[in-house]
Formats: sequence, structure tokens, C-alpha cells
Amino acid sequence: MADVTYTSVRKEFGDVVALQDFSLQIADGEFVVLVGPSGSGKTTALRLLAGLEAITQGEIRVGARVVNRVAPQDRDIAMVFQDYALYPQMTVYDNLAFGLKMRKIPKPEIKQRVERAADVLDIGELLQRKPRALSGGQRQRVALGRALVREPAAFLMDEPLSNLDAKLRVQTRSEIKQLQRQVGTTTVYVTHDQVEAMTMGDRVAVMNDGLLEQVGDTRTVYEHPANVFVAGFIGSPGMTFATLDLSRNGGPMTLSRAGMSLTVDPDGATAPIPGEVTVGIRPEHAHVWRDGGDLMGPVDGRVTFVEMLGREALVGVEAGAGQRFTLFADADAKVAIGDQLSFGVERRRLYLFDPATERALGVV
Amino acid sequence: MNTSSRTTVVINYVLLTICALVAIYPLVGVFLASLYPTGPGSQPSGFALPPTFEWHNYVTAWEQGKFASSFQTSFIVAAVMVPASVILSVVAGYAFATMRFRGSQMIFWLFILGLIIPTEATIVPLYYDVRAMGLLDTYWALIILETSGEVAFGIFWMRAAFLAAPKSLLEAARIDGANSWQTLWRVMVPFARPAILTLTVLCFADTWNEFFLALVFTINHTTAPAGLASFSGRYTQDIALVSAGAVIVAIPILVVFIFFQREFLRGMLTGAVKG
Repeated sequence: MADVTYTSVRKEFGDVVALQDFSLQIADGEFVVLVGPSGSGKTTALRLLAGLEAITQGEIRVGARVVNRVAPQDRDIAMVFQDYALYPQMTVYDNLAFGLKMRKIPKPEIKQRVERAADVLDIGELLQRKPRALSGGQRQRVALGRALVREPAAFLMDEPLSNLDAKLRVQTRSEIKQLQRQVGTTTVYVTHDQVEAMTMGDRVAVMNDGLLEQVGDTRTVYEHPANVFVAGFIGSPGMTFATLDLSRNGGPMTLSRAGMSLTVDPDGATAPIPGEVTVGIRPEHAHVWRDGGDLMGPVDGRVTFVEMLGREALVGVEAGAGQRFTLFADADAKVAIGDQLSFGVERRRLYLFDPATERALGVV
Repeated sequence: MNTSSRTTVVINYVLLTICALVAIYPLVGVFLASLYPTGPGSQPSGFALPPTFEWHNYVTAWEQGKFASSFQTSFIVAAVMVPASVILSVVAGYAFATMRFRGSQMIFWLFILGLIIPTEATIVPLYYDVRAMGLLDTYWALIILETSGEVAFGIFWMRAAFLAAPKSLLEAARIDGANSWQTLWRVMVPFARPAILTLTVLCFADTWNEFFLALVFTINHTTAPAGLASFSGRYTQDIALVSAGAVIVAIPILVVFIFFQREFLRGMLTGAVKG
């Protein structure tokens, strides 16, 4: 086991910059998830660590060793691929044993390690089968087993759950997390699914356009997003944004535009607030206005959509001049498209961003 | 099955039956012709049954065509040339498919030239080269020339087969600690087995059918198809014996094809159907 460090890493494919100024420190035994949309550079970052791509600039360390020019087989890492990459002509046993045979591990030890991994992953009965005779979930376990038997310094996982159906994905992600805790191996996990990232990672690194937007534990990334991108990407359903004007006439701060007005407490702001701000509200923090309670508001608007989710309904509201918000309402709240609806926002749950830089200004 | 899919199946079967008949017709015609009586008065044609079944034609053809000797030559040439071509094609095809090196594209297209330029265009300089090497009328003349021809196709074929393999398979092998050689033989060759067996069958068929090179470069070490020429005189040709000889010459290819039929078809379909 070892820690992993990226220092100012840059990767170019011809004229395309896939990764720039990427610095990340992953502690020994930590589970870090690289999450972002397609083309954000997360898989490139993983492949650079694996040695499957050459670094254009910067430095990667596994433990104390700089591995920029070290061949993949000598980096002491094991990788789980999106398509599992099991050797189709080999049995499950041979798939698990292949990496050990290549490293000239004695046969009795290979047998012992394969059987131990098979036991942990509950694939003992599959050892003599070929990959084509396995289900998606079983293949996924074999792929994990192949990494596990190697007992490497770090596991690299490239969207290993994306080929599984939704139910199996939920089950397997908790198993992977549990397995990682059990063996304590440093793990770098890539996914585009923010739910997967939030449920699995000790820390989450949010990436976009080749840049690391924010890294932190799941709570920090969710509650204190560094910018508009992270705020919109993390959370399901995503945060909704509106551009409002700020006025402060000696008293409380008022956010308003085209007939919409919201009075807020400015104490949460961590940076000077300009005259115009991007306001972000998560659906789970906005509620239908009844007697007000502890909510900030009300904001009056017109219902634009209603999505019944069973336990609750997701309601879209247009307020001011085309500013759109979403909020959760009780499933039995009789709300229809076109209805007038007032809603309020929980205190300290209104996110302010600089519209020019898109950086967070604070939570009010 | 609904009406439209049933109609599609019927149309497919009709088309396939027509294609099969077109392919089988000349073979049956040659087989029936091989059983006609020999001699100037005999005129075998099409599907007409011979007046008497002259099975003895096969014995006559075997002896007259000196097939014992020419089969030996063909087998020896095939026994060396087929493994050599397949191994060289696999190794070079793997390199072209998976490795980046300076000039790889240019070298690949240079090999492809071997497919494009007909042997007839180079036969005269080749003859002088072979004579200069003292290889005229030897097995080696055929082995070397045929191998060089087959490798051009083989590289093209195996490169395509290896390119069809998932890139992650190669990467997994690298991370597992396999070097290029181990990755080729332990991961990629088993993966490309159908394509390799198909190449083997095609190489064997090509070698076995070799006529032109044998005619130019050998006298005593002629191949089986070249032996067929002995049935043709300047003004006469015994169709029944030529047909019997053609059937004899075709038998080894038929046996090899039947033996590898399943793998041959899988190899031909590699990359055509999503796995």
C-alpha cells in the first residue's frame, strides 16, 4: 500500500489538452473518486497513473517513487476496467492467476492467493468457468478478484459498475466499498455518476474540462461547492440557478429581479457580494410556503412541471422573469402545471456565486 | 414469427439456395466428367450422367499425372510454408496493430504492395534472382516465394484481427506484468484463434493451388496443380482425365476445409458481427 501524488500534471493529445495543472494527494488507504462528465479528464488522470498514457508535464508518485517513466507492470498497481478485460480463453482461475504467473510467484502461493480472493468475493464455484459463461455481475467480481490477488499498492477502477443494471450497481458499489475498507488498499475510482461518487468515496475530486474543480469529503463538496459547476454537478436532482440583483439599504440583504424578491441574512457570505449574483438553490432545501416557519421567502411563481416520484413530487417553478427553480413537495400536495405557487428556502441554504467568475461567494 | 419475417426467411433461403447451386454446379460437373470414358469420342458436358462410370480414370490420372511425386512436393512446400507464413503474419500483424514505431504506416503499405502487384509483373527478375541463388528446381524456391506472397496477405489479415481485440485486453495484460511477447502468445493469439486458423486454411489452399510459380521455377519438383498440365497436349485434351486429376488435387483442400470449417467461418466473420 502507498499514497499517490499528482503534482501539476498536464496531458496533451496533439492540440487537445486533456488534463491541466492537476494536483491531488491521495493518502495511503484512502478511497478517492474522480467524478465528472464525459471529457472532463478523469479517465486520463487514471490512465496516467496506470502508465497507459505518457505524461506531458508534471509528476506522479506512488509512495516515494516517481513513476513518470516506469512501465505499467512495474508500478505496483492493479486496474479494473470498464469492460472488465477478462482474458476470454482463460478460466476464472487462470484469469486471477495470470498476473501472479507473470511475476513468477510460486505455484502454491498463487493457488493460495487465488482461493483467498475467490473466497472474499464469493466466486469459488466459478473458478473453472470461462468468462463467457458468467453473468455481468460475476464478471465484475472476477475483474475485482484479478486486482485483489495482486495485493498492489493501489487499485485503479475505471467505471467498473457502468455495465451493470441499476439494482446490481447499487449492491456492488457497497460491496466494493466494504472490500476496500477490509483490505485497506489505496483506491482511485473513476465514475461519471455523482451518486456513485458520493456513496463510495472518502473524498471526491470533481473534474471538468481537464481541470480539478474541487476536492473534498462528500459533505464538503455537497454543502460548500467551490463553484457553479460543482454545485450543479453534485446532488440529484441538481441545484437550480437564477441571476438576481442584490440591494442592501442599511438593513437586510434583498435579492430581487422582475417582481421576485427574497430577503436574506448576509452573514454567511465569505466574499464581497457584487450587485448581481448567481443564486443556487437545491430542490431539497426549497419548500412550499405555508406559514413561513423558518424559511426565507416567500417567492411567488408559476408551476412549470410536476414529476411524481412516489414519496414526493419534484415541482418546477418559474418566478421573476424566467428564473426557474425546482423544489420537492409532498406527494399529496395538489399541484398542477400552471398553478400559482409560493415557496421558501431554508436558512443558510441559499448559495451565492459570482456570475463573472462562477466562484462561490458563500451560503446565506 | 410474423408474416414479414417469414417472408424474409423464405427470400433468404431462396437466395442462399441459388448461390449454393451456382457454387456447386461446376464441382458436380467436373466430378461427373471425371467418370466419362476417355478417348477422342468422349464429350463430357454439364450435369449429363456418363454412359458408364469409369472409376478407373482416377487410377489412370494418378499414374499419368505423376501425382505421387507432385503431391509430395506440394505437401513438403505446404508443411514449411504454411507455418512460416502464419507465424510471420501473426508476429508482424501484432506489431502493426499494437505498437507505435517510426515508419510503421509506410512499412505496412509496403507489405500491402505485395498484395497489389501481380506475380506475373515480377516473375522475370524473380527468376534471375532465384537462379543467382542456385535455387531453381528446388523446394526452397517455392517455399520462399510463396511465403513472401502469403505474408503480405497474412499481415493485412492478422493486423485486422488484432485491431478487433479490445484495447483493454492488451492494457490489462501489460498491467498484469506480461511483456509484448507474452501478451501476444498468451492473450492475443488465443483471442485471434479463429482468424489464425482461417489464415492457415487460406495459406494451405493458396500453396496447394500454386501453379504459376511451380511452372516457372521447377521441373522435377512440380506441384499437384502443375501436374494437371501433363494431361493437355498441344492439340488434344482428355477432359475425363483432367477432371479426374482436378478432383484428386482438390481432395486435400476439401479435407482441410471440412476439418477447420467451423473455425474458418468464425474467422471470416471476425469483426463483421458484434460479439
